[in-house]
Amino acid sequence: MRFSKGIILLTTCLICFSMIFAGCSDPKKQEAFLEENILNISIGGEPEVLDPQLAIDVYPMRVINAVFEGLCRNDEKGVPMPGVAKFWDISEDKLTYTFYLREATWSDGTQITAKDFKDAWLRALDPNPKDHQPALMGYLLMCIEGAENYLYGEGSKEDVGIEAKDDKTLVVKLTKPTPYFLQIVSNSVAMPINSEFYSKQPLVEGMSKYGADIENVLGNGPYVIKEWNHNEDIVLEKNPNYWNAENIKLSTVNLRIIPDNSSAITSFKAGELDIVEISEAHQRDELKAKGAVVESYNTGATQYVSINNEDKYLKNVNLRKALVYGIERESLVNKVVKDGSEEAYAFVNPVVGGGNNSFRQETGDLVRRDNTAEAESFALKSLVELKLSDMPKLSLLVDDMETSKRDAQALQEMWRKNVGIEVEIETMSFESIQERMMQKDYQMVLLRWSGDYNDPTSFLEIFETENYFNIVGFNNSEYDSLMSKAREETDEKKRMNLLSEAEELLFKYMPICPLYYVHNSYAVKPKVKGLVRGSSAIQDMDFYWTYLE
Amino acid sequence: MFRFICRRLVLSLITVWMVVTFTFLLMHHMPGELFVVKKNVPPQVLENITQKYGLDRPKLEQYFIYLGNVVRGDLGISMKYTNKSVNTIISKAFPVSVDLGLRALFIALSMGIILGIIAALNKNKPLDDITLFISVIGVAVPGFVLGTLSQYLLCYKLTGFLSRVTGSSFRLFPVSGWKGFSYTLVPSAVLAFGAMAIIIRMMRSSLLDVLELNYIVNAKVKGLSSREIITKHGIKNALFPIVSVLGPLSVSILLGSFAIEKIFSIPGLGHYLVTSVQEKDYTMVIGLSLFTSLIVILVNTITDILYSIMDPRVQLK
Repeated sequence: MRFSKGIILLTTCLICFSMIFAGCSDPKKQEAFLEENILNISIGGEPEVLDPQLAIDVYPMRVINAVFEGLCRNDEKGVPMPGVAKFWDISEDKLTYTFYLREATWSDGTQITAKDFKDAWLRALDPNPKDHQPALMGYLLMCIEGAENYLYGEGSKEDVGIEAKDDKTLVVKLTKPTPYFLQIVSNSVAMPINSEFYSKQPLVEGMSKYGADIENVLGNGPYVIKEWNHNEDIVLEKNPNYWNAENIKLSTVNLRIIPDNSSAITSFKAGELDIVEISEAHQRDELKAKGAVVESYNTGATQYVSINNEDKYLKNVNLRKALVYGIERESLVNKVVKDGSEEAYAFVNPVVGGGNNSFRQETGDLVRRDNTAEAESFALKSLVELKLSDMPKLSLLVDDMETSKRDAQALQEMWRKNVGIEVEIETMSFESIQERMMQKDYQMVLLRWSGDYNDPTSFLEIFETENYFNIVGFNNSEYDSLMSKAREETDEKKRMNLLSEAEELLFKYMPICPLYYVHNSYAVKPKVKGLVRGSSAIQDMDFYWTYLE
Repeated sequence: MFRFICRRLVLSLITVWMVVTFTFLLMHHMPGELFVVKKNVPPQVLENITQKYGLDRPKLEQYFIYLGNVVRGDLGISMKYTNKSVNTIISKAFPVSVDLGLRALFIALSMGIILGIIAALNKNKPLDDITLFISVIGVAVPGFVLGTLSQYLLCYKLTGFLSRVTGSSFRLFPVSGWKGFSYTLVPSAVLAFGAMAIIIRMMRSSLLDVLELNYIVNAKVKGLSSREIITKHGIKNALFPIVSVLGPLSVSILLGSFAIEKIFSIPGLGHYLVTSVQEKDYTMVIGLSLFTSLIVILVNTITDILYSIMDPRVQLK
């Protein structure tokens, strides 16, 4: 008797509880989810700072691309189109760019002038800024005359070749013809700053609060920030002062910050989100079955194993070839990675343009497909050349991300099977890896490389002898001269040929082992149309053309 | 009492100083580069940044500068959120953790005590077994499993079912976020579960012990009703052991909510406690260690005072 009484009491209590709770949720907010023209997205992490010059991560860039606009912005295919600049002239020698600005305003209604761009660019180059961290991405602007000296603290601000001729004309002088300069101009680091607004920002510990909070952001892009609840959400609203406002269709974009991807997916299934990233392969099928549209896009990155070419064993080219050919890329991509990624038979990612076609189409594959049989013969050759009786044991450094560990295990298995080589996996934080690879204290490391602008040089330059990131220790004068010739070349076709030649040369020596071109998957509600997932960090998520059906 | 608080104050100052010193030492001996760059950034630029933060100066000098700032109550600027001070980040995130923690503590205490009493009064009967079952789950299943599971079952399945049945857009428990009362229920219940399980077991055994003591027998002999005996004499004395674990329990609820905060996307402090170490955000790590040690000291002091108030036999020395 007592037992059943207790149960009844408990259930009544629970029912009462849930009724009280139920009554308390806000019906207005619930309705808002269903209202039209509101897009709910999760961005995965809190943007550290919404300051275009200082942002480096993809989270702040997703917001910055919506809230700010540079002289150019990337179109649906990732090609620069007019942004704040209505049009531009490029001089015959391709060294002088003159940008003519349109009648565009900041979101508070003040005119955008050429000086706003000059100030922003000089700010990004400032080696010793008074009230903010030196900009990491400022180096992208080093192609401008005098910029390198200024950035390195050797030259002065006045000698940098940026001139605001009048309110609406900006003249930029470059040191070398830089065909991808417009790509750089569309980047976050080259977006304008309203100096008057900036100077009014309060300081915290000597650092300007610019970009730290909603009241510290003044943008000029298609959207304005209406709410910013840190680690919770950012609400964007259409900017009525934007010059192209009539073509912006969404009224509100709700950027939810959900760090845990599986709860983001549950939120998506429950209808709280319209777009969600997919991190595990099995989720693709599950979401497809639920009626979502699952798409994948090339992130512009190449996953590869960097090989230390100065190592006592790995300096042998045949051993490196054995490692490269020992990987079955097709099964790696289809059975292990399973997110739509594409197998890589060269280094430059297929999104990179190269004249009429993509650079990849022009140059072709540089590693023969499925040649695991050959791997063994290369391995035997290397044994003879190295005067060894057994295969040496090698080590592979891997960062602590789940996907990296997964890839490393597959590689270990394939190398054991196809080359007969034992590889030990060393997992550590990326900071530790960085320290070791910069000192060339490693044999192999699993890495991912993406260019900061859409040009083959952003991939190929890391193999030049003098490059800071030449961690493979590739040292080839022929390669260096091809690269510097390409830099001076003004004829686009000839330049691409030189770069093709350079990549072909690179793969004669196999200093790295390419694995796959990284694709990301995401699920989207069928009603969402015109969402662009570009291949550059700044355009990772672009709702410029997005609308709801 | 006054002398007790003074002594605690001095001791806590020493503790805090040691925490700051040790974390400082540990952080500066962590392997790896200062700034992670997966890009082709010139080394000169990284040097400029190192200089900007004074990280190129001798370690000892850095230590004394930092200590000086801490004495003034300034925990410095975060090295990841480069224009936010550690103080503001804590002051924004901690209230959320406290909000969640207090809700959880309330649930854990009230449900734990009630279920503990029920179990004790129904010793070795089915109701006792049910509470045993609940508390075993609470102790054995870690928070992140319980969190994911309840998010799926309650927030997704049940809520989806209810809104389909009623045909409205109304959602009982939202999956993620921190926007209102309905968002707080599932996370705080999950966070409370582990603590509640401990409280149930403690309450049950201590109440059973108390009920066998002489003064309870005396009360029975006097002819008091069993209800009066339990509410007036039993429960009050059975609560002592719970008060003594309340300190550590509430600290673990307040600061150990990382997994729950992550699963339900709650903008609390737990996120920073974990990510700041991964991201080598020096100032943030040291600041948070200092802050958490302060919280632990504070909570323990409050528990001691509470204990002396409840039981006059305990004297604070």
